[in-house]
Amino acid sequence: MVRRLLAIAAAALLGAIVGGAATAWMIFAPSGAGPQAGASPDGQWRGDLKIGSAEASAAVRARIAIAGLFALSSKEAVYMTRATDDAGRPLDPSCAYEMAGGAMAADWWSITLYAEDNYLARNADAAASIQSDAIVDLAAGWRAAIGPDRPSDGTPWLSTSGAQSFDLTLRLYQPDLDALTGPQPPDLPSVRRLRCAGDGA
Amino acid sequence: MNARRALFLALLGAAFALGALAASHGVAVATPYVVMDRAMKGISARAGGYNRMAKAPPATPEARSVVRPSPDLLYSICAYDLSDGPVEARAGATDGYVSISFYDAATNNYRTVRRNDDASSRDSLVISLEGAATPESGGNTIISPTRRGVVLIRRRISSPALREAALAAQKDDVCAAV
Repeated sequence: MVRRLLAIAAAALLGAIVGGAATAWMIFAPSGAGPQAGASPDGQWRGDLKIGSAEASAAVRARIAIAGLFALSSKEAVYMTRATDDAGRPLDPSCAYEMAGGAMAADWWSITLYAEDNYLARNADAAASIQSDAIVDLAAGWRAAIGPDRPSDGTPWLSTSGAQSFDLTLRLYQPDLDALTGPQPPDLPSVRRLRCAGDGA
Repeated sequence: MNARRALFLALLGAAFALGALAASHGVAVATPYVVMDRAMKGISARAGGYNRMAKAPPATPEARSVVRPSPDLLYSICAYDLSDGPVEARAGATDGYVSISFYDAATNNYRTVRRNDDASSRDSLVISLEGAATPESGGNTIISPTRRGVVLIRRRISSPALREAALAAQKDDVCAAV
């Protein structure tokens, strides 16, 4: 009888170790490697409208505490993150990408590139972010470059220099939540891979 | 397999599942408190104590104090402690987007006001602990669900002109015991 009770206690302890470790991995996994919180309207960008609020699940709050501490509630800003290109491949800092989009359901927005440690990539390119003010005609559509090399034609650019891996965070400030949660939410920016270092070698 | 052995195996499985669920929930619930506690200690160390505003420069690739900083925003941040009574928060005047956000000890953003859209937020905001006596503040009281928390002021700096104006206004940001 005692042996069986000890076995049950050991099973509970083993379960606690496995459960605790699995949750810790989900929470602390480096950007781009671990699961991202929330639903995805287009299969690429992921976000959770409960970020920043007490209604968010414990797991979402824990993940955001690590990867996005001091996020605003969705009434003020909606955060979407993607770590893959349109084909579902992980974003690679040695590759060149074209990002394209149109007007978005917010007063203003920005897209920022973060390195694997959840901070800005260590480079001197001053190209960590693009924001809606930099786009002349949002409704007509816009394009931006992502990659290690600055475009020669002045196209808005996100530099991947200094990153081992990276992801993108879209911030929609003063968002139109009805539009974002409606049956036909506006398209989010696409990210198409153009080429990678070593292609064609 | 006899019935006793089957029951024993079922108990083993249930114990494993319960242990896993309890630990998973415990880790998830505790993490925001632990992270916020560390963040508040770091902010107060940088500001020279609790209830003091740390006025950060624009985010750079070298900055490692707050994860995922936005280079399009200028931040001022204060870790508050209501143990000795209410705390005043005030954002200096500037055009454009200025928000004042309040976070409890579990990282929840329990209140945000936009300074230039909400006239009442242009003067001092008084943070008072839920359930404590609330001082007269002309309706500008922010009720904090926890004794400690964080005030974060964001200003949009999407152009050189806005950046200069934001840096000037930031000097007037205040976080202080009432």
